[in-house]
Amino acid sequence: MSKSSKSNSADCKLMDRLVPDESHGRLVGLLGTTYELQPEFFETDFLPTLFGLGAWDDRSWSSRIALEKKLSELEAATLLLDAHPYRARPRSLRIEVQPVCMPGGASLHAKVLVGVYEKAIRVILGSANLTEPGYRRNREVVAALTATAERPVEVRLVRDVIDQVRDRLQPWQTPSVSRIWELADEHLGDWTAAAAPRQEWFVWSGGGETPLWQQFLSQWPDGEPVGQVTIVSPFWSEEKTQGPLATFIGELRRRNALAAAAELRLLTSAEPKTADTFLPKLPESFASFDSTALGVAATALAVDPRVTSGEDDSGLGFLGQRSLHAKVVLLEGPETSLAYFGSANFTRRGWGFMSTPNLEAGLILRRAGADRAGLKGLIPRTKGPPVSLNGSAHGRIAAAEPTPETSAWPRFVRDVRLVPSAPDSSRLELVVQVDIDTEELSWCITHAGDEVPNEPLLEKSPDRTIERQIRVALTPRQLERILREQEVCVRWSECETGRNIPVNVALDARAELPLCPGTTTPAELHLIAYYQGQVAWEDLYPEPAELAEGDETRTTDNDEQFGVDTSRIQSYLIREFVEALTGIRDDLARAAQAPPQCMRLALLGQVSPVTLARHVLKAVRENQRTPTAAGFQLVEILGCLESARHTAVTDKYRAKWDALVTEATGRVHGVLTQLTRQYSDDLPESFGVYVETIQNHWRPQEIAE
Amino acid sequence: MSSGTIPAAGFPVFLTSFDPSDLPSASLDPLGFERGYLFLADKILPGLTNVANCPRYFSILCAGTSLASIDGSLSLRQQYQHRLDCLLRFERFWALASVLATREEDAEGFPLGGLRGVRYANRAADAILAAGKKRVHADFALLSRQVPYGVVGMYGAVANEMRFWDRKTLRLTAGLGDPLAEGFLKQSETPARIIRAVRDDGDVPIRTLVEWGRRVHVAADYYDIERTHLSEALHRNPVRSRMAAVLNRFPPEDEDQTELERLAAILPELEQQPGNRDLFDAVRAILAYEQCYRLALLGFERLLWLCRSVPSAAVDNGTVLNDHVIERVCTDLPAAVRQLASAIETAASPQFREGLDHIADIRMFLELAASACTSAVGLIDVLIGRHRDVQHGKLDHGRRKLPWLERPTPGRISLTMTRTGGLNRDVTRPADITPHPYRLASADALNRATRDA
Repeated sequence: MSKSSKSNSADCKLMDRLVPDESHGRLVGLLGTTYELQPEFFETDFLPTLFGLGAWDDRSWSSRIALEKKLSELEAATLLLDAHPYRARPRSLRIEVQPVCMPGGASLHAKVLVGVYEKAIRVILGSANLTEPGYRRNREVVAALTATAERPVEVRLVRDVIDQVRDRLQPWQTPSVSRIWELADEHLGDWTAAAAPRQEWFVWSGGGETPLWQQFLSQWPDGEPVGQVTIVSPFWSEEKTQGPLATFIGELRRRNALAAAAELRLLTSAEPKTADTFLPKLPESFASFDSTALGVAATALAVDPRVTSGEDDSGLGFLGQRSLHAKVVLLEGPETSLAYFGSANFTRRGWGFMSTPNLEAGLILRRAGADRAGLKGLIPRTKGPPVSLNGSAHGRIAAAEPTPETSAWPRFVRDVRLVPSAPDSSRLELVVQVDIDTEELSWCITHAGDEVPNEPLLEKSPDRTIERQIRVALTPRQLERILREQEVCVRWSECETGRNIPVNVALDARAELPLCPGTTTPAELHLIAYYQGQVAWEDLYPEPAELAEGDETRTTDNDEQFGVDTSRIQSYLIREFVEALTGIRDDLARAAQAPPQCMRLALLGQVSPVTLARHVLKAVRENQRTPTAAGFQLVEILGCLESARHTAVTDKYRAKWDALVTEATGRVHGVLTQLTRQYSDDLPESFGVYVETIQNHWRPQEIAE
Repeated sequence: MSSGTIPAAGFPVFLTSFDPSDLPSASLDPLGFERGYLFLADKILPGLTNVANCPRYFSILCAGTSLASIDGSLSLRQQYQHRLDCLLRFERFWALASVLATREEDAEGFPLGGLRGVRYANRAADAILAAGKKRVHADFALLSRQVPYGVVGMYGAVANEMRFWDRKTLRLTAGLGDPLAEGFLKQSETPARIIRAVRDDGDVPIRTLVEWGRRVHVAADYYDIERTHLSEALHRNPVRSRMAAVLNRFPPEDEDQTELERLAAILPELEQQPGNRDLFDAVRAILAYEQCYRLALLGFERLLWLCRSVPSAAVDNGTVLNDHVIERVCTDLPAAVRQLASAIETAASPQFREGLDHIADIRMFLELAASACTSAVGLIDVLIGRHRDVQHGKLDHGRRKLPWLERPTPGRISLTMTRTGGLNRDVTRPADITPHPYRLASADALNRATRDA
């Protein structure tokens, strides 16, 4: 393999396209659509790469906390996937998972990933599912678009993507999805899109009036004959009377756009015949399919499944094979080439040759002149001689396996979500959205781990009428189980053993979620150590198993890791606190440069001056601190917040920052008020004067600094 | 637009490359043998890993880290970041220097095996040479994620174990890390320009880099200072030291000899050495453990394969009962489990016996499986149950993962996903299952590097 080939192969690693680019700023919103999702890949490989996290260890608690922190900094994150292959959701409840169940056996098959950053929008679209084979092993085809103020062509395409996806996913719109579109719109409203003549189109097919095959063919220039049609697809429909090929080629002929000796090449998966020879894999009917009846000379070719030495990084020699999963259609005429690539297999559902097509996403590129040669790069290399499809290909093609049966899905349950309770927003209750048009006579929802439905969370009997939206009050134990299991089980007549479906958390309640079930608020000493730069953020959350069993309410006030228990020595603690003040200001100054969700976490979250202030008051109540010392601390914390009010902030977030600082200041003031009221007798008479004097003198001095 | 993608699109459009993850994945361990394997590997070569098999990296790690100018007033977090930044820059310069040196020399004499991110470094070299640059900056990407995949991720933990540095703070140790760093920079005559460029994020002349690359090449001879300190680190742990010495006396017979064959060949020698009784116990247990592992995994992989080979992705008990591979597992596994039990129960050395509870759960599973081997269905139920427990993280507190196989109804076994883990090929013999690697290659590399120390 030549050096240049190796370089090329290094450029085409899909995972590398996820790696963050500092110039784009932080990721603020993420939306993905996929047919299939592997949650373990998504959490242990995809997300760490997307966030640029360091060494990832699935079993390391600090790795999980680091990831959860990154997720908590997102404004919104949603995955939409086809319901039938759904098996489990990612562990973090900060990711919304929406299974999509289409009518008529169709699937959500589009694979689009939209990442909204502070200064960019990145879109990855193509044939790769959110699975490890999709991102690392299969032969996939992908486009990576990056829209920024400086890239008008991509701005136009990304705008198309956002508009069409938003429009077609309307039935599954959630507040989280809406928030992602809002974030994208904020950018797209500011950026200029290219006005050049269009040569590329984003196509979201299925669910609209015009099927994909017609949309595609409509971009072929009138009067130019197509000399060669190349179709790359791992999956195909049977080609009997009026099969997809007959319809497609027939339409080209009807448009008078087919050359007399047109060639049709079908590139498909390879079935090993011997160690080094392969047969193209196609449905059985292709063995007797005679393309001459369509007026074209068709051949089938196996896409080479081998991994070349140039592709194999390890140097160990990879003995397995790469599955073909790319989907490409390329038309070539004397002047023009037209290519589609994306998620759509060349099947009846994929290309819309039937009334209930899949939802698919792809790009159409049209090129003329010298530029068109590049489109050939979308066609993978083949292995073995072409097999002529002239009605007698028996034994020279391998029969493709039938599609596995799909499992049942409770379509009548549209959504299950934990939302803040109306009377008490600090409590969560379960809200179940039901499609009463498709609802079953009787069904129930139980905890996901229950093998028998003894104590259902919700039960619908034949004689009970049900609303579209049902609110289920939860006991603390039920809530805790749902937060841990993150799924509930629906049982109905078609599936009496039950089907687990994901539970989501309302967008406005996600910020209040604990970082992981079982974690507790970091203790005062740990917060101080963090602000001093002594410990990393992840170290503030020890693994729950390390805490005493049965005591879930206590904070992590355990100083074994610091060697000496100094938590009861006030003078020591106050000295440490003073040494942490610079760190608090620095932390807030960094947050001021970040997106709003990071601001909120730094000002009001579990690691924030507000939490520190609450710890201070708690220490007084537990007789571990004098009110005077606590008063001093609270005034200093207020000073840090006052300093934060005047720190440099990204212009567009200035109002948000001010509001959050005001909210945090108000909360700390509230703590100070509680202290002064509750311990007025213990505080020196001059304390009020002290507070006023310090604040008046401190502000201008600090601002000047 | 990047190269490697199709031209004329205006943005990257491409057929994706093969890109298997080189991070350890829990999914590779469907029956939960990894914990026992790591326990046993630690009994013969504690502190080493299979991937850290190029000792020159320890010199690079120490030298790169030492170049950070640490101001005592910085917070610990900032100090850590400074050290990390310097090390990553140093690693990039070194990788590029090695690649450039190879291009000027005979590639056979200067092979690049073991260099992490060699393709990225080659790509950077291509770009630099194509642009006719005279100076070079360490701002190119080395690996998609240099921290986990490069020197820090792959050698950091071992360097910590060998007392070169403290992985948590990235501070070099006074006894080993500091002198190795200082000595390596000195003996390799690392130019001041390179040191400055690492410290200040600057650039260096290409000629300087190439010359330095010849002296510090990944395949170049080791300096005395490296030999001395790597040797001290290797032999600091007495168990590791004794095993390394044994391996030194018994090099691989030929390229084809597997690790297990080599360990089996060493076993009689160890039996004769009272001072190495713990190594004898450990190697004997390893050989028995791997036999059990290969048989159990063969049974499991066979189930996966049987399900994969039918369109419904499910088979019934009848199919399994008639399968010759499952039958073989049923026949051979009980004897293999007895052999493992014997190896562990008759082990006399206290060093080996210490911490044996780490493999208690896998032993329990194996004994359960062996007792279920009277019927293929019984064995299958034990295998599926074990796999489910492993995937649900019951044993290692890892992430709850999907089992690959399940019993949807009694008498039926099915894949839970159409594209799932496993080998995805027809395996019929225990030899088709790759055994665990026991770090022998890393120990051999250290032995070679420290020869004549």
